[in-house]
Amino acid sequence: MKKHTQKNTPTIEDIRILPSLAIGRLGSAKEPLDNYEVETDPKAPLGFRRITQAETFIVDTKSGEITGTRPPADTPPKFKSGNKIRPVAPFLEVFASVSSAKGETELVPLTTDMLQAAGLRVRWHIAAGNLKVWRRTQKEKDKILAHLSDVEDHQLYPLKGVSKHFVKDSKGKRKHIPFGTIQFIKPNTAFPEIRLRFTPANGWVYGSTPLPKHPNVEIPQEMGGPAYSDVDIPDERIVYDSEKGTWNGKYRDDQPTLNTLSQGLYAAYGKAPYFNYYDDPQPARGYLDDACDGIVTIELLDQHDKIQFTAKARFCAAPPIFAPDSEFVRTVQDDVMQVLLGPQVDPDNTPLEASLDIVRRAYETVRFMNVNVLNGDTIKGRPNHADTMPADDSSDYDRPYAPVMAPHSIDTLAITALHQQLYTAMSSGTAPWFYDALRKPDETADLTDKGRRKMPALMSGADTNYLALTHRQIDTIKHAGQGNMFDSAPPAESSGLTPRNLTAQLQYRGRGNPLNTHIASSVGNCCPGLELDFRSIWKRAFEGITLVEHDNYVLAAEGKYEDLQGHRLLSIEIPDADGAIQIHPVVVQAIGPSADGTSVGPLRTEDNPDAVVNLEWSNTLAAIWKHKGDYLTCRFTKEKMLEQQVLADIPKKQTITRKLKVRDFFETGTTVINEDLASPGELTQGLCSPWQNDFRECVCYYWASSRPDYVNIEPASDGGSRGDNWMTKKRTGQYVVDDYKDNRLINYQELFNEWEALLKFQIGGRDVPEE
Amino acid sequence: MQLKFTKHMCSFPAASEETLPLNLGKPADFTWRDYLLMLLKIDAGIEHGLMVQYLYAAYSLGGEQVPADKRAMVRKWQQTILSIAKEEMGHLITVQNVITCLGGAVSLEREDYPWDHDFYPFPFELEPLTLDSLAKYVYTEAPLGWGEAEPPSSALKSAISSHKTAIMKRVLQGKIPPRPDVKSVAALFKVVLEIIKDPNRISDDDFHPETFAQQASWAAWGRNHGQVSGEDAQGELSPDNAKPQKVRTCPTTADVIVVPVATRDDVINALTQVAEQGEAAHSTVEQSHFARFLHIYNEFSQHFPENSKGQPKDQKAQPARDLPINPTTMDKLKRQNGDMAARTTTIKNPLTCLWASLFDLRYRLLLTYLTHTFRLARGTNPNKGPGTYQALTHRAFGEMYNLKALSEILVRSPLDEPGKPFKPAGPAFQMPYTLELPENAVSCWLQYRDILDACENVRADIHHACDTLSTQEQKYLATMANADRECQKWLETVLDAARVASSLEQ
Repeated sequence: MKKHTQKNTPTIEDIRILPSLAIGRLGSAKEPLDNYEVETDPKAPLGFRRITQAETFIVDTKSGEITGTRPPADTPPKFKSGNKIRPVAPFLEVFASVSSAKGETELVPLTTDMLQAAGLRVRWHIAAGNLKVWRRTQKEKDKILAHLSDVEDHQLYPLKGVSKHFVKDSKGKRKHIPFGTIQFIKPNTAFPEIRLRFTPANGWVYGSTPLPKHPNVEIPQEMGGPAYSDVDIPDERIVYDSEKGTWNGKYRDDQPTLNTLSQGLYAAYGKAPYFNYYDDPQPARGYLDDACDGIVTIELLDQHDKIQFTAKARFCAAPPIFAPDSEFVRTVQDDVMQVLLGPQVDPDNTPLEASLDIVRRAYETVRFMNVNVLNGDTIKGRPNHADTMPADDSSDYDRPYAPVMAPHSIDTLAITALHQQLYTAMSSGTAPWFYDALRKPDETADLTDKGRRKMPALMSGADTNYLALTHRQIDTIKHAGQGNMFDSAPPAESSGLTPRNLTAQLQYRGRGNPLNTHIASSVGNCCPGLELDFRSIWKRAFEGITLVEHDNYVLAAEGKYEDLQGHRLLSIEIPDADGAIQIHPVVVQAIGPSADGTSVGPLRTEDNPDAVVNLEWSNTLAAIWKHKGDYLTCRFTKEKMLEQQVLADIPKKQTITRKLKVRDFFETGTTVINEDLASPGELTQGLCSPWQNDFRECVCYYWASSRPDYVNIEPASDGGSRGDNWMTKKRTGQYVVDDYKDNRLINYQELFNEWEALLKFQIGGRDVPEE
Repeated sequence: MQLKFTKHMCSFPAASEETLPLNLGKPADFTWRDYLLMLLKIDAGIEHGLMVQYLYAAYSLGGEQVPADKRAMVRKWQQTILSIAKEEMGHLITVQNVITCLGGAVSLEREDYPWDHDFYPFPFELEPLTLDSLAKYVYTEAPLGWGEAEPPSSALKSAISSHKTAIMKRVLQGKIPPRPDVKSVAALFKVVLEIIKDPNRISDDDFHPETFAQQASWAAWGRNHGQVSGEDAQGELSPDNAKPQKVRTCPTTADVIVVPVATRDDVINALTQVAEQGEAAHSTVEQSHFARFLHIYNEFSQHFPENSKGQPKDQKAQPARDLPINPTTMDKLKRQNGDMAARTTTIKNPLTCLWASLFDLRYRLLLTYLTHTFRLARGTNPNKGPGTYQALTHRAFGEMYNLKALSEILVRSPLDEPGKPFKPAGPAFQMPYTLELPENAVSCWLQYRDILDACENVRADIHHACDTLSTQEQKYLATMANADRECQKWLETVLDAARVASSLEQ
């Protein structure tokens, strides 16, 4: 790139868009959510953190200018406006890499002055997609894509998602799903910086034309009680042509390897009380949503229309976080940070605060979980049929059903207090001492009593097995603050925003952006995920092959690797720090007690005789990224096998090896996730369609601090706790165990049509009062 | 040992006696059951005493004087000694289970340090980890005829042959040599097991299986450390395709034995496990306490060698801080405690005394929670849901964390008055005046309110006494205050319920 100079203005050496992945959040209120901060109250450091309004940009969407700011305030912003939720509309800022007077390179906001001085102008391109239907049907015409090109002015542009399987309106024009709007904010004297704003869509559910009367079309079963199949979608939101496409009534997940994990993450349901697709698989009912993910590209053009600089960033539209004062124990930021900095920390230079942060997030997560229910205990003498990890252990692996912890030994208040005591002791400077209690990433399918009791407990990871933290988080707990025992000085803090400080770039939130726009607010144990199905990012880690996001099956292969299609990846040989080759298996064997309780061994089932379990890619591939551009030896099955699964240590003669090149996870020199890993729409393709389905069917053991389970909690007279299931329509203080046929809970129809009115934000663990 | 025990132990065999007397040392004025309960109570005191002694030794390790290249090793020693302390806690709890099963009263009492005991060759003392203190731990944890039964090629045998003479010399020439007339813990267990095994001495009716639900379980108290024990172990047998696990050279993780008991066989198995863990491995991947201490002794003597006079070659570069021996917040102790007072060190710094008081209050809270759990039947509250029992269990663990944090503050705090050269203090682990639970449920809960209020007062005194607390100390006090407020809130609800229940009973 050329360097552009002019007197008194810094020289643009390169550009970046930050944040490199911004999260928009759905809502149909007119006014976007105000910016806010979350801070610890020094007088109540263990309590719910305080939400306060931060400087908020007021944008005149007509002119495209920021006309002023709303000042900070001590109160939280209003998350709803009447019965509508305020969307979260992030700004994407452009930074220039410049050299300071001291000769150091830093990132500074790109301004009109700098552009003018360099004789450059701005042009934007935006591409977004919703590939949820395509992910299931694999029909190209089911891709819903939106494009905006050559945006140079400051109009508010709608981002229209179009599919070739969409019907036409009365005027003969093909219908679309609005993905929201894009606006290049017009720089002015007060705000001369270059920024783009993405405002997501309303969060509406879209439908399909009525089912054709055709012998091959299965009519979904009718259910008693609240009639799910009667979800009333207004005509204007009927977009999918059921004659042309298969999404309504003709498609059903019937291939576990190729389908999403879990299968049936669309509007389908099996037998009550909790969703179990496997017992009673149902066809898709033709519902779609207006979530999406995409990529924005900026180009700086000179007078000859020649592109001098370019940069990219990603964005997505996701449901709101309903407990905004809490953070999840493992976020997408933890996973991305592991790629950026590696699975291990510097053992002598990891501050205690890093592990305090993890423990804080642990109690901020567990306090919204009804751990008594999730343990699998009977509830008030009634069998517990909620969807829980111990229930899944039995249904998936035929493990004898038993609570995870000692029966009736855990209650949410007591377990929260226990985690808070950990935090309390560590706040004195005591280094963490509980490394051994943590589940290691290759132990997620250890279903012995001891294995299931490791931390984090009772929660699911991206592989549907027990959640493990990232290697890097685990290593942080192992090493953080260890120097305190020897009175060592705390490690120095890292420097500010510079082109080389990728950590700072990753952590950058953006001026005016609320906390929930950042990936630190995004749940990381994607199964499928809330903001992103982040599993999708790993499937093209190696050049030439595409894996299934949750499975070691080679879905596609190209070029000289074409022959690998249909085989299974078993292990990767990765050099360690000393150069010695370490074999990293990508599958493990599920173990647990036998049916009669007399021994421990592989949990074999008829479908899975070797009890093979795929490990989640994020942790399994954590060690490859520092070898980007290098070739690593990968071992595959010799045979193609779609239905069958085998362990990684099968005889070598049954395997083949190939050297595969590791991609760069990021676009060169940036923190933007490489477009080669996921095109627009691919980062959300595995999520539920519509996303509301996930709120009904997937309970809180994935994402308690985003979609709470247990709220309004108070000490109970029996020494335990009392409170409400977040999904109950009427608050009584009597927790209702999940059962979608129990009409005290929000049902499908209500969730699809009235989610904004019915779902309550939580501040301080309490329902935010309605206006 | 307290006189109330000593006076009944005149006939108990000394360690030097090879065979047990026919009456197993039982005084004539005791029944067998009563004698058994007394012996178990004595053992509980020993387990408690050992646990605290080892905790103090572990927390003494560290400090800026430790050479950088030895810090990883010293940290591992600390983890190893803490693992032994946790295992002693398991012993203490299992013995409480046995006492409960036999219809006795839970006993967490022990004497303050230093503490002369008929069953321990040295006074129980709180002292920093040195080769001298390590030698005592090796000596007391060693099996009879140590080294003789080891395979000739084993690392343990080699360590024994290298150090046995030095260790024996060190303990025999120490300031307080081992008592010649000591009774051994091994003999104590042997006698206890002999009594229990004999149905003519302890009848089947003396066991109370209905107390099983009130006893501590591994699942609740083991915190996943080590091998699953007791009934929890069902389904946790070795994997049928397991490869032999490598024996750890010096484990840093505890193998906690917590076994609830209901029958004679249960009791025999539980106490046999407890008796053996000190001297012999509990599992194939574990080393005995004796082997672990010997391993540390071996490394200590190599990496922190002494000169020909038995002094450390480098006085400054030691693995442990120079903590006081038997710290106490009591002044004028000599008048009350006779000769043993010569082995105590009074904490004279007023601010450190306050931290030590806070430590003792949290220690009291821990012991009270633990005692109280045995009264609250787990899993038997009317709702069949988690209730007060499980809440107290978790709160007890929370107090263990507080003791860890406060220990680390105390080992950095000055022992002496302001202005004097810095010498570190340490946690005194002073016993509360009582651990007896009131009869009335309401009064039981009121105890916690008193202790938490006292903690609040001490925190206020700390703030008042010092306006230059470190940021971490301030943060810790604020966080602890916050946790205590939440606990008080929970306590008020439980208290109200207890009051209602009490009024309904009347």
